[in-house]
Amino acid sequence: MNDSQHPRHRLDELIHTPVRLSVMAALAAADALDFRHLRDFLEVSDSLLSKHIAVLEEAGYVRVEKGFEGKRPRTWLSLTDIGRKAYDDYIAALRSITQGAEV
Amino acid sequence: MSSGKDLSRERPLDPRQALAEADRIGTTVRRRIRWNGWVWLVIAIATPLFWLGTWTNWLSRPLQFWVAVGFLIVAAMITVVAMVREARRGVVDRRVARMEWPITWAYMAVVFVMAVLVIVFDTSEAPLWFVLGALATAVPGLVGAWRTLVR
Repeated sequence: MNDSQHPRHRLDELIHTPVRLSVMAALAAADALDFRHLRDFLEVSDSLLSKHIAVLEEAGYVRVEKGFEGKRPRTWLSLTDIGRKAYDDYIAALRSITQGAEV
Repeated sequence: MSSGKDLSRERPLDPRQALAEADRIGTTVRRRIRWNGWVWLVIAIATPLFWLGTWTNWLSRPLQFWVAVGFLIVAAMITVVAMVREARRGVVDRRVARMEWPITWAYMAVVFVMAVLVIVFDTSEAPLWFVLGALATAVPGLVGAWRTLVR
């Protein structure tokens, strides 16, 4: 196997950081999550989560929608189709690496 | 809480840890979202049992009393657990959040109608309209449970 075929080369560097991985994993399990609750759930600050969301939004992985739920302002975060595919590919690459390591 | 962190300074991820973390977070988020569905299911089951168990003569007086007590205990437990979960960093899913109030209002409306009917009419012999009405009070909860648990 040459280097270009090794699964680690398929690891998406945009996702492969602790906070962005957590964000993507949480959003992949839901329709859309509220920013404030996601921030508390992941135990990160407003500014840190905002920065990571901006990176993911710029890559086209995450959609940000602002609106109101009754009188309560909400910022909904969801994965785009591209983001969901990128996340699935990333998880598949991780599984290939870890399964390869076990052999 | 890690505030003001430089994005470039995050520790590198080991693939095994990354996979475990992704699984952990995905499972936790799904479980917290699905919890709302289980609550609706409990409400859908408990409410008709309350009407049929306490407003007909199917059960003896002491049993009717314990059905009513059981319903109140379930209602109190749901309220307390919901408050604790809200305080403990829940996750709010848009799909669930958007149907929460319509289902709550629909549930309150059918319960209110049933409450009026059982006060006005004698239901001790469990007439058909009463049985159907009792079952109807389960519908909002079943819809909420279905839409949350079957995705």
